[in-house]
Amino acid sequence: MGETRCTELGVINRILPFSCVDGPGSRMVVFMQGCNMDCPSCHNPQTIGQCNHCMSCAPHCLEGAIVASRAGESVRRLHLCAQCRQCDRCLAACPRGGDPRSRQLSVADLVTEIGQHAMLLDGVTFSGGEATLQHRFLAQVFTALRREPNCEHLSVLLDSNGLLSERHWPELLRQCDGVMLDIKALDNGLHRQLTGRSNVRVLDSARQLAQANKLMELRWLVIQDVNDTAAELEGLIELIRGFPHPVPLRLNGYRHHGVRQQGKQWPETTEHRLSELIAYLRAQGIEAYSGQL
Amino acid sequence: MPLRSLHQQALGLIQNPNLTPKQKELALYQTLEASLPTCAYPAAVSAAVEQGLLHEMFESAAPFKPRYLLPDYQKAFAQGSDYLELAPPQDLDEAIQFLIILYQNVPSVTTFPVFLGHLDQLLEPFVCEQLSDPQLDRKIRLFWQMIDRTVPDSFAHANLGPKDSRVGRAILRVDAALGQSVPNLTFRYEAGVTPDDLLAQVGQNIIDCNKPHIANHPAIAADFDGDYAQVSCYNSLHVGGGAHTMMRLNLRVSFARCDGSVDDYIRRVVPECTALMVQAMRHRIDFLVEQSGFFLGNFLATEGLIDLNRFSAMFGIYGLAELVNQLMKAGGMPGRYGQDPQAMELAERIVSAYRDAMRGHQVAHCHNGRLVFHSQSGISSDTEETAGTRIPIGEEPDAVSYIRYCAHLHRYFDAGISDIFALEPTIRQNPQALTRLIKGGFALGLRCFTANVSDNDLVRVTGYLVKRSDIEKFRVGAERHQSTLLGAEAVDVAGILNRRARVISHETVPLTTWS
Repeated sequence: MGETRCTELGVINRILPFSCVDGPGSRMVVFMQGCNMDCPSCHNPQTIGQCNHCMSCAPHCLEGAIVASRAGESVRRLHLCAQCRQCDRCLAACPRGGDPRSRQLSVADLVTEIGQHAMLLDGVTFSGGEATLQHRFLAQVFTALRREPNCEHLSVLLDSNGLLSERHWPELLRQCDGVMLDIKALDNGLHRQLTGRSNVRVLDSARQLAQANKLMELRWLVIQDVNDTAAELEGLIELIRGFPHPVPLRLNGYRHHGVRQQGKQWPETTEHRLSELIAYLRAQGIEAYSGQL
Repeated sequence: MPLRSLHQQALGLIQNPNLTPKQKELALYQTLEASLPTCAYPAAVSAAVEQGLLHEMFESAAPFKPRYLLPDYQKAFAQGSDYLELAPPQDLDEAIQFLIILYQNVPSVTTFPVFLGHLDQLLEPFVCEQLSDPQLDRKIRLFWQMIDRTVPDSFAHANLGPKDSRVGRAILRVDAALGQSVPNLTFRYEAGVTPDDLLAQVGQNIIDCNKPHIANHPAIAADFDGDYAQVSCYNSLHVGGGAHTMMRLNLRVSFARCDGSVDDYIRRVVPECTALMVQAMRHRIDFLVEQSGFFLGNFLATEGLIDLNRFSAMFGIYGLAELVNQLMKAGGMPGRYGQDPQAMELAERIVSAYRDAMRGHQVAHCHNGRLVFHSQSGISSDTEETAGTRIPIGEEPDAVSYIRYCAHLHRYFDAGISDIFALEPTIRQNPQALTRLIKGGFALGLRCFTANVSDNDLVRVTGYLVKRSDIEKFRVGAERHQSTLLGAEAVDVAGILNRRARVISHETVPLTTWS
């Protein structure tokens, strides 16, 4: 899970051809595989790990969609899309939080796939997982999209946890229209508890992106009674006020849907609490809104 | 039918507490029509009807009015009507009153008019500068209420566009504010003619109330000599004309006639089924034109508001998905309709073969001697077939994938085709996404764009709409809309409220619905 990875191929969990909640207009969402945080509250935990072709998942597939392809000594896991019923049994069987349905695509393959949908899209949002773990691949995809005549009109947005190192952002930002950044907690101890990582890099990224005028939105997953304390709120308001431009804050209430057992230790966030927070933040001059309806 | 059971059926209708007197009148006459002797088909056609290969859409063997009729309202405005003793209208009030009166005299299969006119083009010349927007809105509001209360059937369809107009904008404002199921509404969009902010308004109306449909005006207009309109459920027909009748071919059932191979299906079964359809359709066309006397006596014909030369009849198909899946399976290919490019290529081959075969038949009393081709959007008794050329319920992909898979089929259906794109309520915060789907879809060849936002009170059944709240009223007593009765059945039989985009239509009701 390091920051160096093959520049020709990207590992993609899945592609959602149409979304109207991942940025302005009609958008394709490309979910990249692999994350460098390990949040018990993650709603897509199957995007965290990388498949190492151990084949533990294969016996759990009732459709025979996961098969081994052998070349000499090495074994590769193959996923047969036509057979797969998306029953998700394989996910529970993966010891690494991976997804056997994830696939490797070349820059050209991905750009072709986007191009086939381009007429019906306003843009593409790269999400994950943590998309920036594959920043070299992404930078090449962004460049290729700009050169593709039928993709010229597409805006390119990025969802990120903000852990990308300072020196790698400029290359990505050159061809990306904006970043939607997750803020998990302002207190570093709490952040470690929620994600397994320090938040120093995340907060620096937020400031760096805001300076570059590329911070489209901050996203805050509100876990009631965990990261919505007065101190957390103050920290968040202070962070946003420090930006050179106003940046909207999207609040998502924590839900148990999709999370692992570990994440169920925390309560779901009530609509009431969410509205209360939004009202408070707005009174403080923050452009807060609910990600739910 | 023995006279005794006919009487019993009539008495049952008379005593039905869920029907208004008007609805009872309609049901009683349809019961009598259905008891007439059936069409004297050749044996092969009778057998095909019996087997469920050909579906007669509950039409009587002796029709006395065309199924769909589109008067030339513009001509009526210019010349007035001797029959109705009306002079050409001189101002907006007179024009609206003229239309309301005319609507009461325009028949169709539903007994109500299925076309209410290109209302913006008709009324705009009567709007003077002195009339303020609030004054105009008030007049349109009264007009809209009048239509809903006097033409209580949501197959009644008004058209707008492609040009901008004050009347068009007022209608969109009023329609969203009132949220009535009647009239049904289509906006005809043309890039470069329809301003972007007007298209945005149309998109906003869809988000507010699932209306209007949007028609790809240049794509449809190219198939017509002169003006066309979108009427009833996605039917594109000539203004000043219409469709004598419609029959539909059950493609799922047609599979049994082939040896399992695509070649046999295309080479042998397509011409065979087409010939059966054409033979069957000729019966009602000929009866209507030659024996019913409609075109001789009706004032719409005698005053030139319709012209027999602008009529045709609709050759409908349904269950394409099931046919393609059967052929794919028989050929040992794993792909499914709506999911696999190979399956969609096969679908296009089939559709194109039927269209060509249909055009090979000369049919009397039809424009250019030809039938018109229609992807029929289903009825509630269809349990095993998907409507028209749609993707089966439960297998529908997201809107972008749906459009990519199905847009190229639209070009074959000159008399109309429909796919319904289900949208989540989250679209409300992002209307730009809807605009992109519309423009992109039309660029890819869609003829008609219909979207359903899943939580609106107005629910689209096929092309027509019913209100959830009206269905609840119907359950506890009579409800005044003819179409609510059909919608309630759609909810009960087909579970439309539980599914993403259910696909049924009944412009003529199967008699069992009444009891």
